[in-house]
Amino acid sequence: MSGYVPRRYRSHKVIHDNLWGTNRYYPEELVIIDSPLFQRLRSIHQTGLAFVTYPSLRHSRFEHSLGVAAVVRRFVRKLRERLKESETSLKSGQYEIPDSLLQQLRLASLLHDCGHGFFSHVSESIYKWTPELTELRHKQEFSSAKPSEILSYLILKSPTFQQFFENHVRPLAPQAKLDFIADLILGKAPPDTYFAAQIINGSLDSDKIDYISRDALYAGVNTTIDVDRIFNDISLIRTEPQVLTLVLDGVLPLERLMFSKVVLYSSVYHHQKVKAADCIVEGLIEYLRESGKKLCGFSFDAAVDFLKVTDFDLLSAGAVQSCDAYTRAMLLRLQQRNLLQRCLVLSRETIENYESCAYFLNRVGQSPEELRKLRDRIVQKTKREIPVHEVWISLPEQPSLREASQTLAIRPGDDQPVRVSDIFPLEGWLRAFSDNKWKGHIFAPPEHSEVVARAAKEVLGEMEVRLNSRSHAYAHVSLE
Amino acid sequence: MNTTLQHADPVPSDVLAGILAHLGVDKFTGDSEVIHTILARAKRHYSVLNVYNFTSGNLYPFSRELEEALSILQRSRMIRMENPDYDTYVIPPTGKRLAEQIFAMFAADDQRQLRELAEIFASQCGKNLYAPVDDRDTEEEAHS
Repeated sequence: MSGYVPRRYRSHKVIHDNLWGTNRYYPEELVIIDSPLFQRLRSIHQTGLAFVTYPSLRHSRFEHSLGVAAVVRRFVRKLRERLKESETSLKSGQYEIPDSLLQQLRLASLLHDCGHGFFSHVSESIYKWTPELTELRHKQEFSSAKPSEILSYLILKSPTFQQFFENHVRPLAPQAKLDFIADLILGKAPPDTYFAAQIINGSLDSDKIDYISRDALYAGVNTTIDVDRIFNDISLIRTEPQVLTLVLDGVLPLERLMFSKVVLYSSVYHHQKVKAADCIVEGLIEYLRESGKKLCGFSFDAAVDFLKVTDFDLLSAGAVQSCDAYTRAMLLRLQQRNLLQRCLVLSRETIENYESCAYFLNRVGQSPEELRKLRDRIVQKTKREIPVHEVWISLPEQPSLREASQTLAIRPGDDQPVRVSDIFPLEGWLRAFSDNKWKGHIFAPPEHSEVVARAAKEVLGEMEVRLNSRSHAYAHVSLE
Repeated sequence: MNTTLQHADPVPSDVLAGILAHLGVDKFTGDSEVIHTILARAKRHYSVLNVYNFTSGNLYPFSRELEEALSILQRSRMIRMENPDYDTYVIPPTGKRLAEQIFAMFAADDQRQLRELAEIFASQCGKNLYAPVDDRDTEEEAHS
């Protein structure tokens, strides 16, 4: 960013999008869009390595960020329409959304993902455990912020970006305040503009509306999200004298959004082949850190290293040529889709004594160190020279379902809003669904799948986890 | 299986399970707002709750770690939600026994904190299987 000098933009530019159609982007936005920081997002897949299973799932953080800005404009346009209606106007206290706020919302939407590393959430799940991110996540200002949101925030607060913003964005958007924009990314705003934080990082935010719609479209997974209905039903209400909050006219739009989210998790993000590809990247980073070897000049000990490499770097021929033999083999696994193979399935169906041991199994999933110890024991038990970086226990975290209890809706005939969860127990209902769909896996190189399956069964057996024959049969592994 | 975990650092789900071990009632509210609010307030006085980071920007203080802990306990059948209302968590006898095993993993001072937290939790959102508490009363208490 330090050497970047933007062009002079005389007016807006039009960008066409498969999802949101034709949209305008204005000079203060184009300065950011054309920057190396934003252009880098072209090389980061929105859904990490999900393209190994869904070939058309190739969209990047670049078009997602542009899409979120397009959604923000529709959001605000609809809210403005609603605010003009007398009924809504009474509840919101004659409020009008100023252009300067829309401008800042759009800038926040463009910049909200600039802290993503390669393969998006794949690298995020690794660098979240670096000492610096662990420390930051425990600070009150970053509580419950995702690691990539923390990095986006810190990029915006860096002296380099601040100087860029002052020199090139502020002259085009004099009322834009960088601190306010950075806070929006963390879902924070002063009470009188609380709804602005909700539009950027809230329970029913523009990010969610874009990523669920976009991921479903490109994956080819049919979902029931009804964006028109969301915009039709959304308005503003004063929940306290100084607090303006988003409110829905009914629960249907949120129900559909959350159903779609849960379906995408079980069928796309947590697909076993997608998780197998994720494990290759995790294994590669683990190897680089332990061996001190470098890839693209980095060992990935620091969180910031993950921002200096893109998906395209790792999927390029150049990366393969300039690294050691083991790293090359792992990269080729990714590039040629020679993935790890599941050799055991862990679920309610495959564990005989599920009730007595499921907790301890899930508990291990919360600690990378505990998982590593278990993987070491499995490899030891095989008595073969299998690198531990290629034997993985995948116990995916479930999606957050906070939307139901953090979104307000108005019942027909009522004046006061209630939480959507007070009208329909959406959270409990969907939690039960997704918990029943949950599966864990043991992954290994295909040529070692049988021996690893046997060893893993033995190790888990020593821990009183009794796996039945479905555990390997579902993985198409024969242990006769 | 728990024998392998004797010396491991507590993870977020351990803390919640440790609280449930000595709850004194076998049901508690399924209302996320009430659960998160109680523990967010208690965090100021109980260091064992430091495994949870609460955000203050939303309608109520929310912790992703606590949400995932509830999900893990549910997925592990230590607690379950009552169908069809999905407004109450039930701790079945097997869940209670597991929670007690997890409680035993904690150091003495943490165990003291967990017992005190169990009392706070039960009084503000607990329900007895045979003598249900009125939801509205418990919510009012939680917000007071």
